[in-house]
Amino acid sequence: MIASVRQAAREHRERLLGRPFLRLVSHFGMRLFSGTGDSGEGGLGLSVSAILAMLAAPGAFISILLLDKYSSLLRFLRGNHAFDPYAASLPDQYFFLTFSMVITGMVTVLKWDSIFPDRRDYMNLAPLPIATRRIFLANITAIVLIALAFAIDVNAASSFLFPMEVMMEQPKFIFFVQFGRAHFLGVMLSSFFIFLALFALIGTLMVLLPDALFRRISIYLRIFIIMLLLALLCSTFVVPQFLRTLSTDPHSVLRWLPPVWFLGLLRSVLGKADPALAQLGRLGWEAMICVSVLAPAVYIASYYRYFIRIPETLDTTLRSHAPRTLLPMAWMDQLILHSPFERAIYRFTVKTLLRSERHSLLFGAFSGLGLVLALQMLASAFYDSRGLANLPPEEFLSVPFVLAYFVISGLRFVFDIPAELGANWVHRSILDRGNQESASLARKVILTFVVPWVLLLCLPLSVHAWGWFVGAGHVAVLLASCSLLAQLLLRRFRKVPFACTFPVWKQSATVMILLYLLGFWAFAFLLPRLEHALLVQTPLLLWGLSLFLLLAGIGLRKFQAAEFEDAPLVFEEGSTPPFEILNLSGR
Amino acid sequence: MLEARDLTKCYASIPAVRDVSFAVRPGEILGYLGPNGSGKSTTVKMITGLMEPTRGEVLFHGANIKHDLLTYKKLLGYVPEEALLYPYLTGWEYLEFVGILRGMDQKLLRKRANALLELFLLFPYRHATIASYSKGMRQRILLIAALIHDPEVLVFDEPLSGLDVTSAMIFRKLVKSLGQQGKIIFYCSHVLEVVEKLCSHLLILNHGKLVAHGSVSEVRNMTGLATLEDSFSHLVQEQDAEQIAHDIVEVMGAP
Repeated sequence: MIASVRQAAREHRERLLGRPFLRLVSHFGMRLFSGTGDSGEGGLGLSVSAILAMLAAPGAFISILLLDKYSSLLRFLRGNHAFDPYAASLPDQYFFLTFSMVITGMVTVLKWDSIFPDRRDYMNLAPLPIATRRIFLANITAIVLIALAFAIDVNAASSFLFPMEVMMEQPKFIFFVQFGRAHFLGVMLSSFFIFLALFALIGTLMVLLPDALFRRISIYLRIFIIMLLLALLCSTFVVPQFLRTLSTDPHSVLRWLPPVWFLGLLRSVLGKADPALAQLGRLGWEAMICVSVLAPAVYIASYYRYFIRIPETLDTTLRSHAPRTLLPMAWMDQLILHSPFERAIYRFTVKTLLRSERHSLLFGAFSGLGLVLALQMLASAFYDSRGLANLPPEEFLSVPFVLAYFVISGLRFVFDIPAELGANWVHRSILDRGNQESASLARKVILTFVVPWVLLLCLPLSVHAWGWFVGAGHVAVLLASCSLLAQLLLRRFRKVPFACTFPVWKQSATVMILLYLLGFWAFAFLLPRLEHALLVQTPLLLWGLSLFLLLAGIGLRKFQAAEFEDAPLVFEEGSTPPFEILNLSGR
Repeated sequence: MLEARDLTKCYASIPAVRDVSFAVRPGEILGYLGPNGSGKSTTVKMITGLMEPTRGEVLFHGANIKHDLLTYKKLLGYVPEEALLYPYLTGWEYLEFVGILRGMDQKLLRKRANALLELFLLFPYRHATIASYSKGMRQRILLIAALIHDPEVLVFDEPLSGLDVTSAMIFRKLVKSLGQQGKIIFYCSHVLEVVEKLCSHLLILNHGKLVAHGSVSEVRNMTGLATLEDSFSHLVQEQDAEQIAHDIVEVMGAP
């Protein structure tokens, strides 16, 4: 019975995909999930169902966590008897709206290049007997269907679980239906809004800018958007407590936040919006209509401007001028990069990091998150500034540590992600596998991305705020800790960055995440706390701490060099066995 | 008959191809030669309908191809210079994709795809993704995709790129047979020996302009040189190849 149903479904699917238009739609859908490089490395090797499950999980997980807040039993035990579910759910609704926007926005930004047909599509599809109009329609159909599927996937669990939790005490089922309907409408519209807004942005830039300039700024723009989205996500901790000021302050900055518009829309549908929120809800509808009109219009314009011109741009995009570099390479070769291995791999690593889209986006996302958290910490430090006179409070000391942690761990993370594996034959054929400089080189690359902003930004600011002795001491502690952290993260690093296969993360992913979180707490909070405690005693101890950290780093480096003396450079990560036999007897 | 009349293509007013005219009759194999940057690929894009000429026209059986481009594309098989394929599709899936988009009958598509995969020695690897294919295997997939719908016009742009000796030999014989069957074949290549052996007619392009057109013997007679290689060098090369080779060796040994 099941086999025959399966067979019938398969035949039906084959019949559908046998139609050229549907086949094209399916093709454009598939390429969004797949890698675009020649080696097929663009994707992370995840199946469609795995991606959908990953995107759906947070909504479900967060809804379950909220049970603690809405459970009548837990509230009874806490003695909280007066409970208005509509008022209590306001911050959570803001969170879900923002969450839905951020996830959809992230996916759109990450798949930015796959949205429009590219050169590969042109070379494969243009010689076939299909009208350009049909390719265009198939592409837009695939985009709309996938956007819809993503929006439903991201919001499905929360649209069911969250209303159920909030309305569990209501006497009638209709309350749950009304709440669920408003919630679903709000999160779906917010998803679609961000998708269409980004779509319109890409299209507008493609229409307005010359092709070469668009491609050049595309990556920076995407990193910037990722940072904005992360900042939006972080706003969920702060914004809800200021929502009540909307009615009293007509010029509140909150009015500029799209999630607030959609909160107004959601609350209006629910019939629980105050006048200020209701007004913003109308703004939400207007914004939605605007992007719904703008996005298809610029898509059509950009499609005809970009896709039709692909064969001409292929012949005219050769550049003849050498790219500019901000790094003083001659100076670095003399002072820092001592061997030919270091000089060559340093250049390769920095250029790959800055030019490979996947790597720069991931690194940008890490740094962006660090920057957002650091700025938030700085803002809260200013907001409730306390501590000893003339001495920096812990929050201020933490700010550069937060950013540095994300930059360093982000770099360490992206080093493991291969770039054009097929091209790593050049490393394999030239490099001496007994070379011991890979970890030291990777540390130098990491420090290149930390030292400049620490010296050019943190040092003058710290010295200006707390004087030379304390300011420079703080920067010395920061630099020594960064070096030590890089050293710790590069333990067993025996590879050329970006030139080795993916590490086997699946077996240790949970432990790794926990370690990274623990590391963040220790680095970004514990160290500044220690620094502050020493400052309270005497500022001289700050210099002692930096010296200690520096010596610890040197010691660790020597220990690691001795421990992995015979380990060769690797280009393929082997899988680790699920269990190991420990030779405890020593025989 | 496939005919190009005064084809001209300019990029930002700089001409890449200037006033190129030729005709290929059924059964003829036209070899298209020229150094890098001479305008070969631009011409190929214009005769495959991928690019519109700035001036001039491409005629198929007397009608401008742009008037019914889709019908022309149905009769066209094209092997591009660069094997840009979808790496996440298997070889079989790619052929199925192209066949469906060409509107082929599913049964016929399957039958031909299987037979051609067998003949091109790819059948055992048909379910492996293209990402895992070697350059030669990708090129063979492109060849199958160009032949599967039995086209009337075949445009090959460097078709031997990456093929091993056996496959290249088979391919050369295949092109001959296709020519004998009455197909119109446009063959663009850098490999002079192959062009000399395969093509009934030649066209040599330099700096976007046609510098020779005729049968292989006519081109040789035109220059008065014994081989096609010498004739080609005489017509398009501005530098002495031997001198350049000598200079390269000197630079390699220089301190």
